[in-house]
Amino acid sequence: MQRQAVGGRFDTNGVFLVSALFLLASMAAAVSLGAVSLGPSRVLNGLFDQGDSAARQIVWQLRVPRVLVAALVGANLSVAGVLLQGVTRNPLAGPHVLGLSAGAGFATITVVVAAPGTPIELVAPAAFLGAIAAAMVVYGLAWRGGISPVRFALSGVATAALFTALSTAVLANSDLFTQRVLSFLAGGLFARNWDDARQIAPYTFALGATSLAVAGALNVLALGDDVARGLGMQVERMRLLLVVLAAGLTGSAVAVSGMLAFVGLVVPHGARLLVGSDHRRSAPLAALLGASLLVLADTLSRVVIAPAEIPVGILTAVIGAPVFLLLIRMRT
Amino acid sequence: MRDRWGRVLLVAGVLGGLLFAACSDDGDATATATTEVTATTEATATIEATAAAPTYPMTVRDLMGREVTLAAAPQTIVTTSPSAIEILYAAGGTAIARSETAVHPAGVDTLPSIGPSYQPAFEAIIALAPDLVIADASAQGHLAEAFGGALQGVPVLFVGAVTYQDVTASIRLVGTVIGHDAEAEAAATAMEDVLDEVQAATAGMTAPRVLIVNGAIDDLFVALPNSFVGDLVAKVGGANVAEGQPETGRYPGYTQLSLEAIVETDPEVILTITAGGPSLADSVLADETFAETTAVTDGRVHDLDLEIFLQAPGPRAADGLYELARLLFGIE
Amino acid sequence: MTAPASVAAPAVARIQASELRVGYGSREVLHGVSLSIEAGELAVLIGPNGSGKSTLLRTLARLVTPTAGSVHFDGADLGGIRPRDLARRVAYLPQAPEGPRDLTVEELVWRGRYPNRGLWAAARVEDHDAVEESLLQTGTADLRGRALGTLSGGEHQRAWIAMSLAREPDVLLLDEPTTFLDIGHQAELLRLLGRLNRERGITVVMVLHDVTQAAHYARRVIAIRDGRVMHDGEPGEVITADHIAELFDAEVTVLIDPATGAPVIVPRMAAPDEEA
Repeated sequence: MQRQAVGGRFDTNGVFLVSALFLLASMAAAVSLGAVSLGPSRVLNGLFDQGDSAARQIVWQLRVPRVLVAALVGANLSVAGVLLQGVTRNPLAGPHVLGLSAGAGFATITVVVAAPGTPIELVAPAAFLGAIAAAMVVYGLAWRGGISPVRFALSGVATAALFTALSTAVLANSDLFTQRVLSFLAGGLFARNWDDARQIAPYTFALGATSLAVAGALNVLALGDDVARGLGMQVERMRLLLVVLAAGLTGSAVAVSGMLAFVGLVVPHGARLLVGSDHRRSAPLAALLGASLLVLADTLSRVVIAPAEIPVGILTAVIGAPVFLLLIRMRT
Repeated sequence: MRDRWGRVLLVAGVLGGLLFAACSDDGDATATATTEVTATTEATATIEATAAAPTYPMTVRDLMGREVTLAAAPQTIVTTSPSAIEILYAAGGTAIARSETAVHPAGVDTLPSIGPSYQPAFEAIIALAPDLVIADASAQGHLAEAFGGALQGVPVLFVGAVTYQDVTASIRLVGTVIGHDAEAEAAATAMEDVLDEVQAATAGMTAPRVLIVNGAIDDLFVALPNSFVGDLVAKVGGANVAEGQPETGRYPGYTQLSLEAIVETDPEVILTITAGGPSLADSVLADETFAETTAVTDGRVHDLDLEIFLQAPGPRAADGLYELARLLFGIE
Repeated sequence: MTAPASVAAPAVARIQASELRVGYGSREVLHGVSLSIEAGELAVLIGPNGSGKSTLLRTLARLVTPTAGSVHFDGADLGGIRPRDLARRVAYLPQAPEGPRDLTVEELVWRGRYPNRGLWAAARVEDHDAVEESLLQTGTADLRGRALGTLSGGEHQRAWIAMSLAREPDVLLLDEPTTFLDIGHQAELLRLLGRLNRERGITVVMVLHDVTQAAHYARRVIAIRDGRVMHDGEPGEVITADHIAELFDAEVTVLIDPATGAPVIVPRMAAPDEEA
């Protein structure tokens, strides 16, 4: 039996238990609250289809899938953030900062503009490929017989700018904004439904599970490339796998929710603060925390000025930016 | 102990995926059943029901070319845009709810709001249990799928206008659907009479070169003849200086030209639409670049009504025609 | 799992480098280095900056692939050994290793078990024992709960040595392990390595900057310059005033430490500039 080391400030099992309960509570609140006040009994009627068709429609067709999408997107971006911060050994890395989101966005826009009839099932794979393409560009720019974390981050900033510019170019040259482009550009989680949940779920479960299974490799990489190689790790191959996983998680999130900044950057810091730098713990915790964060932010976005909505991206930035600054202060 | 995380999570991920697929089956069936949007893009409404006495169930084709079927005469109608509610009232109907900014015709501002037209709160609509929802083909067309998915079982009729004829067609269509054919016909005919009257008055007069802009002085959008305001100006007899320019930027019916290109056209009349902030007409009059244009030296720069010409294209377009006849030809 | 190593026929060198050529891009750093290290040796590589001694060490650790020549480990070609198998036998520690500042010493040492466990294997009794033994051997057991960011230079370096020992290697390859340490901690660390070499039979090959230290602690000194082995033998043979002058372009006096009999290098200070 290995003793739990004291990397974090809190008891690990307790942190996981509380985080899981917090996620459940957040989801319960998110399903209970909305533009319409239903009351607990009608929410339950809606959840369990007790003959109240309006409640059923509101709870089961509108709120539940949207809450699931929020949770899955939050988990995806946060786990991607853990992977990218680990791979680059840079606490400022994230799917947004490194241009993966911008690559996914570019791919989504291009597919939708070039082939407006593309079935929705193909948008997430396209975004996945876009994120991978961005990751490869970042890699290519940063490669000098190896990857220096700083160069990787700088290349990411340049790549993000590049793909954002390309997206703008595609949009400027498309004669009409198709419906899906408009929805995509709006970002956020407005009117996200079971189709969107079904689109992202396989990525979250397959890539998320794989990510958590290989998160231990980040612990080895954290010791530096030479030490990691000396420990028998095939560093470049592992790094590539981790970046591809992060790209898949980011791409599928972007495909259903557009660009949401800060989630993938902030949540990994919070997770590390709670359970320390062992990625086998911080990655799954980041998934729980990221899911909770986005579920809560989306609930606020629907409730605060109901029946209108605050774009959830604004809320994640409003919550994320100060939290991020606070975390940086606490860690230094 | 914690080293089994990887395996546990892999298993959990797979199980979670299966569970998710099982849960969402229900959503799948209903979602696909209600999102049948026909691909036709004809903007003209063809009414398939008999005009004499309304018979239900009735199937009509709306302004997006979708087939809409009503089981019975609608009693509780929710409108989701300013245009939609004005068209409904012109056709002799009444609504039980409006979108946030809809304040015409007089009295509707006390109706409950279902949120902004760009992001209607679907659950608020469901809670009102409408038997018909009238949405906006031009402002909400990109949300057609979302409407279908969210409002299952409720017919959604898309009306709205890119041309003057779209308005009269929308009024007649709504009249048919709600069983107020005669009243709607009278309203539509009255609008057509105004058009005939204005065109008769301006016939044979020299068409002034007209520039129509909105946005901000340093970020101008120029209306093309295929925008709503462009259509009205053309019908009245103005010569749009931007005619033949390709659409660019993010708004259909508008183009973004360089200031030089705009000034080069030397418009005799500049019509501006101010969407909040200081009057765009004043800005144009004060701007050095425009100082030498005929419109500015003649003092013929006029602000148009924001709602009539941009935000709520509808029955009040008849007033818009009179206004344009006055501004372009001095006909009172 | 360490049995095959000790059973290996004594005739076969633990590490055998033959005609190694290594280059970065078009620049060749090692020009045909041959070297044989027997099991249980404690050898020190010395040489001026840029001589190729670090590159040689990295090549022996298979972090660098030679353009020509070969390295054999217990008679097996290095290129044919699976990375994890090699990592279990050979521990390489770079100069000034850095880990996450909030990582604890114990967590660091556990990560050293990666070659033995991989990513998914549950911790077994032997893993636990190896970690404890490594902490004990390096005197870091009391520091197990401390974060790396809070350690002194000497503690930090011992923690990394413990991490390297956790895999129970046959060979330690260390690149300037005493860099950034004060004299006291340098001596402490070198004594620790000497003890590991004597008591546990671990073959140690390290690069040292300080020639006097090399002379004092090594039983074999390998002098390298311009990518070639210039001298190889016992400290007393290798470290002479002539050799040092040839290696470092420096005038030195070599004295004999009366306590140990090891050579001591005294740089001849250049005379102050004549006053104009």
